[in-house]
Amino acid sequence: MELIFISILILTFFAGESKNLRFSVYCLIANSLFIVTSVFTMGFTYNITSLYWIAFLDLLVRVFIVPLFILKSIKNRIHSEIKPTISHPLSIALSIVVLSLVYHFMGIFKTMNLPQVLPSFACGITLFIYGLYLLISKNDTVKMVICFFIVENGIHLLIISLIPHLPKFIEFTLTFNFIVAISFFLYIILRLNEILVKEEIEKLRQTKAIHRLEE
Amino acid sequence: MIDIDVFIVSMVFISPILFASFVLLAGNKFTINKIFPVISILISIFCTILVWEKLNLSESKVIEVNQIFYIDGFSILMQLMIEIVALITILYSPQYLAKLYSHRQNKFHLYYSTILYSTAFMNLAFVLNNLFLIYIFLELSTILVIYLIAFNLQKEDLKASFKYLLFINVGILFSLLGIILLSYFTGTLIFLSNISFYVASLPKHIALICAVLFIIGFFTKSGLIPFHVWLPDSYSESPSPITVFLAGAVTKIGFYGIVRTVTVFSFHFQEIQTLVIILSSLSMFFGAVLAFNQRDLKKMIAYCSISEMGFIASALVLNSYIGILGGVFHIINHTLMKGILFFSTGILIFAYGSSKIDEIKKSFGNISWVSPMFFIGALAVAGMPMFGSFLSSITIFFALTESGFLWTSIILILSGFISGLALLRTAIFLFWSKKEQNQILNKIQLPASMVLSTFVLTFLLIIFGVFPEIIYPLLEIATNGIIKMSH
Repeated sequence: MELIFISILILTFFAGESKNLRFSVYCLIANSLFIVTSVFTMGFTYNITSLYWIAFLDLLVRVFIVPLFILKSIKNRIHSEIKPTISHPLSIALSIVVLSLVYHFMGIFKTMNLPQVLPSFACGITLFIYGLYLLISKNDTVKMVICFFIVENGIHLLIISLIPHLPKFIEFTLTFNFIVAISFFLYIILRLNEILVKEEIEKLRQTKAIHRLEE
Repeated sequence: MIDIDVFIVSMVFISPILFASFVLLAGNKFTINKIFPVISILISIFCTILVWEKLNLSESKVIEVNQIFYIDGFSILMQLMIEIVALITILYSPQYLAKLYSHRQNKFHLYYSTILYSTAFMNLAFVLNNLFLIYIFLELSTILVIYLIAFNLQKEDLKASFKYLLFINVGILFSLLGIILLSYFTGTLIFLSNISFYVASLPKHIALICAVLFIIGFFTKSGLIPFHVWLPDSYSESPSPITVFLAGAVTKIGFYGIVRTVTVFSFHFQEIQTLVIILSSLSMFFGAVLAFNQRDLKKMIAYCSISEMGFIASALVLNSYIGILGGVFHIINHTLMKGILFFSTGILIFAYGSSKIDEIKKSFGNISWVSPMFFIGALAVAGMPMFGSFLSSITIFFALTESGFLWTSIILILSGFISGLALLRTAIFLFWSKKEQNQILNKIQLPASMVLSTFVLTFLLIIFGVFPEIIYPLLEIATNGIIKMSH
């Protein structure tokens, strides 16, 4: 189980720090596959059938639908992200510190002997905090959506850790909200891209017209 | 409670959902677009009043149904306010949209149905008992509003809506984290009916962590400083009726969240009260100061709104009856004041096509109805007597002073004065200062629905200021509901 969570964190790191947006999305897909595996494993280990359904839903939403949406939004643009606020080497160093420190620190909760809380809690908190750090440091709109995806993955794992205490439909409804939010994000990005492309074409036309007049 | 009562409670949110779906399916047919939303909101208002009657008859002044619904006076007050705001927004919109958003004519049905869905989810959130479910429906209603902010589909609108979506979604996730931690440390689901018991039993450091998470989440939702970044842009870029919907309904969801979580913490932990009052003072002061130099009328009102919301947040965490009463009353007055100001600005935009103060001044003609209503709104923001806002501000002032926060009450008076001054200065510049000699004064015809919507809000603001006993029963039951839940 621990290995799965560490793999999730490593893949999240690649998704967050990769300059190439397409590669980031592929990392997210792999990351989501590990999340599905972790949810399925927890369902099997603790004999909670609702987790199988949640794993299936995750497979559908986090592995297929949302990454496809994001890939669609980067279809007509340059695949490298807009320069972030923090320089790349510093960002990588900070990411490693944030991920390792928070995950290690959150291990304290494991000693608290809380009744029936699943082990995804520490990983969830780590993803949440790391996603927030990424959100602050990035400037690219698509990258921000990827960061939001990471924050949401964190919340998802936190909710999963409380599943024994929750009505089962809460996680399904939260996933629905997540899909709606991501859809709106991508709707806005696509519309913005359209406008930016139009503006670029208009600028190009004007420059050409000026050149013609000069000639 | 018998089934018929459950039916009435459910109709408050089912009616807008049903009618929104009709509007969505029917497309842009004239009568359906304009009549169905109004009918659905009227049904909701009627059912809310019936539930209020039931609540008045009950001994405990709380209606609980199978751990699903928790309805107290504050739920009723919020529902009524959101329904009235939605109704007035819908009535104001047709002419405004027809002139300024004619290029989006084929999407008007989506506009109305989004307002209805959002209202329905808010209404549902206000009667639920489980904190997780409250979060889910508050978030859903918030997300839907994106479509309305970005309705014009221009670059600036899209940027503003992206900012809104990002800040609100991430911000409100903090409150979800707060709920998760609360459940984690108590080992049980948290309901409004038991939140006070569990909060009181928490160790102090855990309670502080949870409360800070709730503060970040719901302060972001309300648009209070330092989590306000989304608010000025969203207010200024969205269509004016939607700005009123944002100011009167969407940001109020944040206050609902504050009342249901942060107020409970502040009743048990003095540190939370102090923290919230410090943050609120920042909002009051900086909101007013930032408003002063704005050249966009909508942004100026947005910053004044941030300042005013600081009043409300500071009052809602005071462990006293008059504090909570003042806060609840100011929620209503804030909605009315901002409604008047944004609707008046909407009329100016309708007439001159801009919300920039200098551009309006250049082309300003003869609009007979706007200036008095804008002046009333500005005077109310300044906290002048005769308006409801005077009574609520003065109540908050006394409550803060009594609770030992004299410095906050001084900031309150100061920021009210600065905000009022900023608005009055702009109003005098726009409506009273001498016009250039060669300027032609055109008589501009305004749609009756727009003027009437603004007039209704102005009338209510004055009525609540002169005859506060009209609104007092609702305020009393809401205040007692909050105090009962939090103790």
